Amino acid sequence: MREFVAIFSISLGFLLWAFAVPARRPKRWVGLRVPERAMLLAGWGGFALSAIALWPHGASGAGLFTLTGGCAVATLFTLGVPVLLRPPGVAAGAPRGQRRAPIVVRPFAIVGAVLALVGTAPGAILLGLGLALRLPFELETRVAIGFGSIFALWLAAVCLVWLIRSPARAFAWCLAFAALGGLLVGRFP
Amino acid sequence: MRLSREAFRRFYELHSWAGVLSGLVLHVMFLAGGFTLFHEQLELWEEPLAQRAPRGPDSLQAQLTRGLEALGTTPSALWFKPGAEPGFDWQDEGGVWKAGRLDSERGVIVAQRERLAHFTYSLHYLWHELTGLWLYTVAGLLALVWLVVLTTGLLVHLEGLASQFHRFRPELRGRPFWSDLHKVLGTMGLPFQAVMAFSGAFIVLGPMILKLFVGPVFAGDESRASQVTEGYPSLEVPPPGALVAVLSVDALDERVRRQVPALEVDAYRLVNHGRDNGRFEAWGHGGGSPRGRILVQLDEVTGAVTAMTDRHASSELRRWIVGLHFAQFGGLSVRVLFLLLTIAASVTILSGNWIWLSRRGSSPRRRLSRLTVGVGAGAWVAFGVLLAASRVLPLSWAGRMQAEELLFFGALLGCVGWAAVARDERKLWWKQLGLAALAWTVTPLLAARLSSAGLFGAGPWVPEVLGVDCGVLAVGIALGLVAVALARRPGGGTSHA
Repeated sequence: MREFVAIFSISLGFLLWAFAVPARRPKRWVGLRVPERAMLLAGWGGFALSAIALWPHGASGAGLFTLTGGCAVATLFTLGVPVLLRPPGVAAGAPRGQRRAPIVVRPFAIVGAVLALVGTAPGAILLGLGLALRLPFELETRVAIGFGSIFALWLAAVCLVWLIRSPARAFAWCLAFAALGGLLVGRFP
Repeated sequence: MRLSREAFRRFYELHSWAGVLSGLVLHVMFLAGGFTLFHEQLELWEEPLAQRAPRGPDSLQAQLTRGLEALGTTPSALWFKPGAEPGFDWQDEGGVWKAGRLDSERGVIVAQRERLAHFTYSLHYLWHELTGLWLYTVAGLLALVWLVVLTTGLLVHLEGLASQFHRFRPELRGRPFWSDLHKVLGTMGLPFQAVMAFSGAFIVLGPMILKLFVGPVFAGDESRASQVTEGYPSLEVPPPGALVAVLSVDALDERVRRQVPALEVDAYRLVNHGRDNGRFEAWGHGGGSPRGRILVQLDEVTGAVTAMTDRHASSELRRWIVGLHFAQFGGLSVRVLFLLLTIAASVTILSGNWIWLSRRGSSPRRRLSRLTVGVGAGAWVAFGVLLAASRVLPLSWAGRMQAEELLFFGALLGCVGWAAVARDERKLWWKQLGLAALAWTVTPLLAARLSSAGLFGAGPWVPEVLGVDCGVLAVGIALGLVAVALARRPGGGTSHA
């Protein structure tokens, strides 16, 4: 168990290090901006803390959750957040005239994506539940239709909510969708 | 159908970003899924004890008795998989599940010493004892995200779908080449990928969502909920009753087969065996195409049926979804077809990444580009290393199962690290695929060390073992050919420009 953690930690550490220091420009390490350095430090720190948290707990669920979650956060921070923080139009290395900001620079895009995927889930589940409760068929058929339609409803709602440009309006639509499901169910479970 | 300009842009953004962010994990899941299609054959291939030929007529009761004698105890719940050397799964006093197979020559239960098939099966839905439920849930959400990627991709490309079905111009270089490849494979594989994504999300997230149904729809009755959705009630293990004489396993099996003649039994479960509340459960497949999971539960004392799989709308829905996802129809040819479609799905993902990369120029591009090579080719290396390691490590070594998993992740991370520090990114593809080809190709040769039933063994051959050896060798040769083709292609064949 501990050997696994040790090797996994070392491997991931090397991975993060390798991505932080591209081979073609090794001096980039010292050329990182302050936010990038902070994010790298946060990633490494979170990773180290998770490994330390795991060590005394052996194979306990909490420790392992911390380790894997820490690794994920470290990777996300190291690879993703510096991109987020880079201002539009200054993407390094791109020829003049082709510089374009990554879409993630616009935080609303992320909010919209999360809203579309997660915000539509309650509505889809409640609508499926409502169909399973209210359709005029026998129980097995109602459950098959209600349960089976959840993912189709969810998918349709994701695509529709994604088309809404304003996060506030998207949030309102998610609420309305959930309220519609709630009305069909008659009460919230 | 023509989308408005704004809708096209929004759907294109969602398609590309969701695809790029989830694609590489899905690539590994897809490849692991390819292994899962041949799970039963791999289980036989990996364990030499399972390949032993039966020495003559052997009743189920005799197999069970030999197993229980070797085990030295009768667990309250025991899975029994009949065969020349029957397999057993049971819970010890601490509630920990154990698995082993009877070695009749030595009269002992040999504890599970190989789990390549189990590991690749679990990797397909990101399950591991170390990571538990949360990563498994992520796998379900990834399936849903993939469904979103497919839907938005279809909406974006709907207008030119007919031409994209066949327009592939291998003479082109750079983005048009990858774009053609992405669209052709994506269009051809769309039904397969859509079914896999939908059924995958249903299988993983369904049971979690079902918990919300238990209260309002089933008035809190979990057993009823299980009966309606699974087709059989939830099966608890009650405390053991008093010792009594029970019917033989062969007699019980005969009653099961009278009840469901089409049943192909995978395993039996014995609950409180030899007690007055003993239950005999036959688990298997049968009943139409795709084959559904069937349970017949009997009372061990009287032989009366106490529970059985129902067939109604809800359980039929589940039969279709699970049956389609696990290719429980059409036999081996469908599984081979599914494997090819799985590889096509992986290439669709990787080519999508290259299209995305070719539209952008910055350090994120370099990182993703290297990550795409490291994971794209590295996954093949890692699976090859896993296969080779399973044939190299001594069967008597207790730590071999953990070592195999470490070697898998080590190889994958090693390839990613190699991609990160390599000077010439364009040569990486053929180098890593060449390495993968080596690992896959030598595996059947190495397999002859542990088993004589394979391609390079002295015989007698076992069809499943021979099939796995041939399949692994074929994949190895194919990887080698792709590596050679990429090495000969000017610029290494992965130009993004």
